[in-house]
Amino acid sequence: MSKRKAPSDSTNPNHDFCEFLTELADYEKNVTRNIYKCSAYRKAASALAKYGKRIKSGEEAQKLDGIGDKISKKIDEFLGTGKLKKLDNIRNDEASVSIKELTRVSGIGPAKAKELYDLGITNIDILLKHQDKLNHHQIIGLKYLNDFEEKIPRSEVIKVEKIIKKTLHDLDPKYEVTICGSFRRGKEFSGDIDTLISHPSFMSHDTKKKSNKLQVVVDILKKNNLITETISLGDAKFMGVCKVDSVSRRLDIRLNPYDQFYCAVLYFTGSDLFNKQMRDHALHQGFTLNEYTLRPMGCTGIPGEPVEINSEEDIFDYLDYPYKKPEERNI
Amino acid sequence: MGPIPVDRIISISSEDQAHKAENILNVSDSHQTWRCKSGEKQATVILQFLKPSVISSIDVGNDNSAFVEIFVGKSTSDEFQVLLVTSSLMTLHECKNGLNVNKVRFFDTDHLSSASKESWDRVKIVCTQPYIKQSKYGLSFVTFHSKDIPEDIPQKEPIQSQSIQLGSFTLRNDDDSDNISSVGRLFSMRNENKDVVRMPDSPVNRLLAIHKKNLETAKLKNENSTNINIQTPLTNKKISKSSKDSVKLKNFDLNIKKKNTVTMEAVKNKVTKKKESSPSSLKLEPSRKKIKLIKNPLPVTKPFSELLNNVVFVMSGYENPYRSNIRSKALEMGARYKHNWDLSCTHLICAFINTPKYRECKRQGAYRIVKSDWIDKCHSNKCRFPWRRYALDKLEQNKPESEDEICASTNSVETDDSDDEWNSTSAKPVPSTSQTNYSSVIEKNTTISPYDLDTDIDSDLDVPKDILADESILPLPFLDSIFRNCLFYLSSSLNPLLKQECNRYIIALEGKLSEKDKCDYVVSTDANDLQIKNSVTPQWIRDCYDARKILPLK
Repeated sequence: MSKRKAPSDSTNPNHDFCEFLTELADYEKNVTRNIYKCSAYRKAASALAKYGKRIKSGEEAQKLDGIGDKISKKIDEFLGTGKLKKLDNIRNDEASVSIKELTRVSGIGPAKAKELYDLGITNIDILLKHQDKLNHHQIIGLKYLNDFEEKIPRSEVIKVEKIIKKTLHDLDPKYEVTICGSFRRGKEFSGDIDTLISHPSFMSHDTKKKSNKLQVVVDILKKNNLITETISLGDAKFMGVCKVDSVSRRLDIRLNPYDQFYCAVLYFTGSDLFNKQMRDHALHQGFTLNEYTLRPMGCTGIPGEPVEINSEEDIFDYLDYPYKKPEERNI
Repeated sequence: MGPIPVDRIISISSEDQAHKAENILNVSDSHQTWRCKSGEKQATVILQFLKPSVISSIDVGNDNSAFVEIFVGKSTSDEFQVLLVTSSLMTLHECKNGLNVNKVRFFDTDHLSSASKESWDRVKIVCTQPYIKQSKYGLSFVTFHSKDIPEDIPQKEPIQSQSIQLGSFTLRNDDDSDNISSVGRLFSMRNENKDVVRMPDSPVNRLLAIHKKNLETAKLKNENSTNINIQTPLTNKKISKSSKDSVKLKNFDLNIKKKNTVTMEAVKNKVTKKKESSPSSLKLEPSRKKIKLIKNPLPVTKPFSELLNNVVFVMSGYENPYRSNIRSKALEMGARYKHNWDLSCTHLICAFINTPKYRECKRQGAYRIVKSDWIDKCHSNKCRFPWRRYALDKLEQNKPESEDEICASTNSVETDDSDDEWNSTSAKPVPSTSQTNYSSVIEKNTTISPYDLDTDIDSDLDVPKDILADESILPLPFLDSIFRNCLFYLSSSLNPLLKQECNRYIIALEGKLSEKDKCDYVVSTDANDLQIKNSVTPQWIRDCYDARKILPLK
């Protein structure tokens, strides 16, 4: 999960609950690094956001999927006192405050933040003086810290999409280009621009062969002044910075083998909770789904050969799961 | 490498009354399949090998299953290990639309798990079909191959026996080819029947025959014929230089009297031809001796190294070392090998139907699909046999042969596939060929036959000039007036080439053309027309010619 997820909708009647649950989730992720607790809070927040009306008691909330005894008690506490003791402790805990601040930087995760904190680097200002401790990605993350924290309006993503599509189709009209992430799910704001590209001549069985397709694409986009910085560039994944208006944006471009393109599109469209549900469903249907392939499970639980997928719908079809449009995957 | 002999079937989850499990051990008949009872979640069969073997590859013929998974085990224990992970036999789309239910897949060592390194004597095959509820599904066959039985097939063993080793691949030895173990025998047999050598049933030959009928035959000189043989291809080479590989082929057979022996020489005009034979090749010594020994009239001949030189082939379903063995034999005879099927390919050497290449080939409208016996027999007998004898499809096998044997020789005469092969496709589209493919074949004929334009179209007398120049050497061909007093109508749905061909057959056999409502026979390929009572296909006309009588209408 990206740390630049678009903010939850403030018009939601349970907005305040969602916010504190998300904060707890972040704490569990970044400080205690307990991914399961993090998921539990996020799932609860998601359930409350979907509920549609204001929750009046913990008991009422407990009926929802994903909210159990502990979280319902926290909701009661929040309803009664307007705050949460656990959250206050966290907010007052120096380590967790520092780690939270440091993880704002793209490329700095909980582990790196903890490492920096242990070195006595407790905030961004100190970090600016100790850039020797950072890698290339983190230095760029720090350089564009404020830009990257700004949400990207949909209209700007559309501009980027147009430029990339035009550039690639000039190069070869067979290129497939899809911008995934929350943009594809119809959201008004995105955290970064996640682009998937593919070409029919590039299949998974020849990934061994060196392909410089991504290199070529990135070079052209650089010439077009879309890409301004490169964080990393491999055969399959580019991470970098692009700029169309005044603000620099995080841009990822992934080159996927054509036969794995739709699994990747599904995966990178998310949401991550939706993906989790979908993979869960796949297991029930005797399949295993990941960002590359959909494979049938053998009768002893060994994943089989990937099935042929020619569209996102194919994946839903194989799993006998009603097709969900990208906009319907915001859970 | 050879198939691993299966001792017995140990157990099955279920079987349909009409589709017993033992059918999967029978490769030769793809219509006999094993299916589970309706509504099973999975269909399982466990096989026992005669002896523990290392499995190096597996061939699976499907019957309606979506996935197959294969395990290996030992009779000493009940445990099974995965050998082949769950693999698709049909896509979801195919399941839902009932398409391609009998695909064949080959799994080689790359597909198999590390269990393929050990030897096993049991296999468990698990099929599933979650997409068609209540369906009966299973397999049509399964064959396991092993590399570790070399004593069965020493490398230098005669080819025939190798093909027998591949028995589970539907490789049947054609009896007829054994009769031809002596070069030229078949021709001599033909010649015994008639003074005149049987003409291959190409329209041009027939045309030639008509033409000859009208001309007095004169004495001939052997030198003349030799000249023809050399000149014609050269001329044609010029004509055809620009054109692509798969182009209409021509075949002229000339009968030549030579010192009381009837010698049949065929001059081939083949556009694919790039090089012409030079009349001497040391390789051919044995075959020449053979010919002398037999003292039979010489059949059509060409150097051994060029026997198959218009053949561009693709192989499917054969495994090394047998595969490379066949390939090098074909290459020795001048054929060209291609990895994958494309438009320039002429023949598919295929072990069984419904392999991926087979399907691709069919999809593109090609139909010359033969078993490896063809290469084997051609090689061992140093004689190019008509491919149809070795056709993989029984349907094709039953069609009349459209080419003559060509024996390896130092005499630089050659014959080849004749154009009626192309035409017979047009006339008789193979059922599995889609209409579009069918028309593309025709189109190919029409568009890329520059040769055709030169010779076929202008008149009855459109035999290449260099042959006409030597027409004196031609004896009378055999022609029956079987269509005398018969009126034919050629449907407008026939493509022009086909129409022209039919026209010639009819005229040659003394039939007449007439209006649709007055005619005795409507010649058409159109399905609607074919429902009319007196309708016939172009193939019927050819068959009549071959049978030398009017055949009953179907």
